Amino acid sequence: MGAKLQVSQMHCDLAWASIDELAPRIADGDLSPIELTELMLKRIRSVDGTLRAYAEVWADDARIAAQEAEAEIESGKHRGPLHGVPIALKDLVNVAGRRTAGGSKVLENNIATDTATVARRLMAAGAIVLGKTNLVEFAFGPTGVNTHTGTVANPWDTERVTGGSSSGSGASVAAGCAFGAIGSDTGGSIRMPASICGIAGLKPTYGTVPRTGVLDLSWSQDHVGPMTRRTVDCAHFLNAIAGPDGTDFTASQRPTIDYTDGIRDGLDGLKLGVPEHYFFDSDIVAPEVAQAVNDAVELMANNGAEIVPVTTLGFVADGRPINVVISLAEAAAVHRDMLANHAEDYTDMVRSRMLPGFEISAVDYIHAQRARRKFAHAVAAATADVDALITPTIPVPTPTIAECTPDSGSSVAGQGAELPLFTSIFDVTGQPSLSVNCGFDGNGMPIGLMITTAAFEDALAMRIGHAYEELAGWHLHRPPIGAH
Amino acid sequence: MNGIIAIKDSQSMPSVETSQISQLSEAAADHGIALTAEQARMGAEWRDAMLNSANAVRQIDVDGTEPAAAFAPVTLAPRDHGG
Repeated sequence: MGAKLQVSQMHCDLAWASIDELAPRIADGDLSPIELTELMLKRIRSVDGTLRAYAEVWADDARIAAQEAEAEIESGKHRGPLHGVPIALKDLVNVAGRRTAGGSKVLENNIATDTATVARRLMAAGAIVLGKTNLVEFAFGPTGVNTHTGTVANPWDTERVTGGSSSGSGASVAAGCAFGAIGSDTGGSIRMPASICGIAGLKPTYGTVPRTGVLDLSWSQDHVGPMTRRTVDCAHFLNAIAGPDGTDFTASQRPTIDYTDGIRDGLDGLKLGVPEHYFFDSDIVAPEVAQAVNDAVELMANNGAEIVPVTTLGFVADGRPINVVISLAEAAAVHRDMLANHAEDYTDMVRSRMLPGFEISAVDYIHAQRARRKFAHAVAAATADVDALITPTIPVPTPTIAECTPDSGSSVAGQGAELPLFTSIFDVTGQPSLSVNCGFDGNGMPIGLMITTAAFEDALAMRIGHAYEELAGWHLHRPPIGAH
Repeated sequence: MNGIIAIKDSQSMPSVETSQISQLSEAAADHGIALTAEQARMGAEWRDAMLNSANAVRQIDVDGTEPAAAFAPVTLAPRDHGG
């Protein structure tokens, strides 16, 4: 190892370092991918018995990949910012020869025969895949509760939910058990756990990241994207995974760009829109959530941004039922054969939520898609004068796992249904939407700030998110679990 | 706002009528899904909330929206997706 620093002797800060900080040190030979991988595996062993973030840990394969990465870097070949960086994949992303269970019993013996484009690209970028993370069964639920696999616990308070459906991805990154993870988002499943776990999560513009090899839920709304400790790391991830693959026919054909370009340009000259409707409605939003977001807006206003009230989104609540109808109809279509053959193997909660989808008529589904088109254009027109919309990610404080778990004999939980009210709006429009940490509630749980830009302006959303993080510093806080 | 109302409604423990259970069971059976009585009852707990969303969407005027959009996998900006 020569002059390399020994990870075991390093400050424990390393487990929470950002990829942006690690990458140049790995490239210089100052940090060892082997030792970074061992650090992550050690942390997983230490805390994941409590968290349940991982469905599978591939320790042997990760060590081999780390050895290969280290040898390659030592030979002078550095592939880029993800080379030698340990990451995780949500367990609906296929890796050939490995199980993709989707958080379900139905697919518990499903061995993938292909590798998803997103996984293949991350491996090609030199990332070390630590394993697969747990999720809500078939990604169909906002809280993170999964009565089959066991609900992932939140690193900030293990009695509380992580948000879903990318629950394990959120928890693993927040707890210092991966430097980044892949999630998917159909109603908010990247941004909700990012918000609740206090990390950054980007739902890219629809079609930016191919869905090839990723389990479908609602294919016209499914987005694949990164979850990382800092926004700039989302940009590094997106650089590796964006662009058409020739297989996913919904993927954008736009040329790929460098999403880190301009990310450090700050807030000067940017117009940030704050909606007067819905997103700050006191009937929906808890006061401490609204206060944290308003504080963030004020901080950005004091540092170069122009704040613009947006008064033209009075219709925006229509997005939620559009999201529900399309999700239900498409999920019913995706799951029809499996429900016909394995209805008893679904959890009561998810099977029960899927079944009403079979009562949505073709006419209603087509109407919803037309309404979606009109809605997306209306949102674009109503926000044309601003660079981004600034809103809460989630309207309410984080509920407990008990509050979100149905009683025996029922499929309906007491809380959790409000979580996707805001995030789902932008699954309908397909716009890029980023959640970053903007403080903590009275229970010590993170609060999320959602930054949404026009289609294909993913880099702008991340520029704003990065600038805010640099100003506020909330991302530097760490959860209590395994902190020492 | 109907979507919010529908979702909030789902949070109170719903009472499920026999007719709702029957309709859900029949819709599932049309797709080859045979449910136990308990599975159908729990599915029906979600039925009103979810179908309220469909009702809310029906109220959205879509006149002037291109019919082709109903079938486009990308509803956002098809020309940007090589269509």
